[in-house]
Amino acid sequence: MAPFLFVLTREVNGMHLKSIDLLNYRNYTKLGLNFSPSLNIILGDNAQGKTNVLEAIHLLSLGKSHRTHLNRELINWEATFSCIRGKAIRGGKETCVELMIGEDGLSRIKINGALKRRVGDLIGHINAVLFCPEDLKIVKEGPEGRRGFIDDVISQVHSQYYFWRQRYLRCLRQRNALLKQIAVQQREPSALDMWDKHLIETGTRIIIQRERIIRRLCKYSDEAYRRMTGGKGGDNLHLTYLCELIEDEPTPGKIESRFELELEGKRGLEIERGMTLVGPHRDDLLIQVNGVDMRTFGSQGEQRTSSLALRLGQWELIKEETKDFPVLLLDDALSELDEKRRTFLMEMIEEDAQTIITSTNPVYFAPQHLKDANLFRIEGGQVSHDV
Amino acid sequence: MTYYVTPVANLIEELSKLPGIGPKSAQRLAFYMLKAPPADVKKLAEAILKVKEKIKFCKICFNVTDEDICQYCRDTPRDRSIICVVEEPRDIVALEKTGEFKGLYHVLHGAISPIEGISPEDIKIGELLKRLKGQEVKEVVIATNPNIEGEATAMYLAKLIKPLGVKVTRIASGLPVGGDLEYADEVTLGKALEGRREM
Repeated sequence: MAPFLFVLTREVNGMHLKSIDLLNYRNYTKLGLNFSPSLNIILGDNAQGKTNVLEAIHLLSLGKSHRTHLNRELINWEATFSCIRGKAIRGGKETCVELMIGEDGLSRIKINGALKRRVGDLIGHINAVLFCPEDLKIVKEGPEGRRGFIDDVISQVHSQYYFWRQRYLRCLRQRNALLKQIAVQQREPSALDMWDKHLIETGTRIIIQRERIIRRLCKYSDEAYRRMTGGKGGDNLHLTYLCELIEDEPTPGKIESRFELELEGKRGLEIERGMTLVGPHRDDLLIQVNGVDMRTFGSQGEQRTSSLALRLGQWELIKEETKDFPVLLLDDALSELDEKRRTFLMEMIEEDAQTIITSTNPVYFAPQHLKDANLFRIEGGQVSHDV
Repeated sequence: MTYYVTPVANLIEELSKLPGIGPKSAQRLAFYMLKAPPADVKKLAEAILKVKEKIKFCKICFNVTDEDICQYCRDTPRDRSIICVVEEPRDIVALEKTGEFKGLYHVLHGAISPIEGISPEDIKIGELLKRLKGQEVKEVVIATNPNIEGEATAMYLAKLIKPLGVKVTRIASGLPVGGDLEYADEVTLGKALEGRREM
């Protein structure tokens, strides 16, 4: 081939999402969209279904919605099931990922037509990072959201993690049920032993991964934060993993023995309270800018920039670990940002990744972007394609 | 359900209690039965009743059987020094198909699960310990499911059985034989790596 072709076409590495088909999904009875491997812009007024498209892609990426825990809500109210099909292209090869949600709220997964047993099998085929207004909650609200964020990041780069996390949570539920039974003297405290061993084994795996990923995420998020706040002399973002079971060098052996010791010491209290008081389900992530805790002392602007830096860090991390370019999904992210950060974000998009942005207003985009982009307009669940 | 006359509604309701059968499948099965020749439906009903009448649990291993003692416990050439512990009778069928195991079985009829209120006394653990009291048994192979409940049950059993001087083993988890490495899921492959053996 003529070498100059490479200069003319923008080089896109790794994976990109070719198309998505929705059947009975939220406000859509049937929808098919083809995406460009670079910039895609979805324009439309509020409550027309823009976010639903991004939610569906995110669902194919992580197996769960960022807006609801109830799968039933995802099914169009006139239908009994829903289906999302995405086609991804990686190294010239197409992968078809399908997620079907039934009346019972259970989801079934097909990869290239073959039925898979676990939701975890979905993760990794379509890697995407979603920026949405709700991201502010990661910084601002309780530790649960921060744990969820870290767990999503790890699942995307380390496919076994999802499985171990499910196992840990299942073991935790069993153990909590048992603690309540011990409290009313239905069972002996010694019945806890076998669950403790599993809690320690699966919990340690989670802690090791969280520690490793948070360390790496800190580096990438800090870089993003600095760039957004004025380059080299910019502000510094620091992430600290808060886990009671880690002392200095975290090795599996050390964590396991500390875990065991803590469980032993807290057994009486745990029985009294009827819940497990030790383990990674109590972890947190400390987010600091120039040494200031963002959760309690951050201004709204700092908190928003922090959450954006976390997402950018996630994107960079997935890129580094999987050598894949995750799809950037920006849900109304531009309207929340000031001019400087918006420009920075758009510059980054230009650099490499496939991007799908929703917005109510075309003024947020440079004329060049609007000209180059694959432009969709959504109105009342109907999509028109702008040329 | 009120859309149907009572006998049909009852049938659908009963069918939907079966595992793996949702309201729609129950409806489909009920209408299949309405259409089917009476003789066929009678045969099905009789087969269900017969199972409840004739089938009982083996007095030794609690497998399903139509006699007091099941076919495996009766089978004299079997190795009586080794017992394989499973959760359900259907697991015996799976293990028998391998043709690899020539010992005896013990069916627990469940696994320990505090959420569902199943404690060690609710499954056939006491009965297993009784079987081990004699001198005959040298090894217990624990073949409970590799999920959290199965693993916890395995651990509980090992703790009880080891002090009796009986060897306790757990079936391995890992790669399916005959498959390609690249098609194995990461969890299975990871487990297989952890459980690697020196050659």
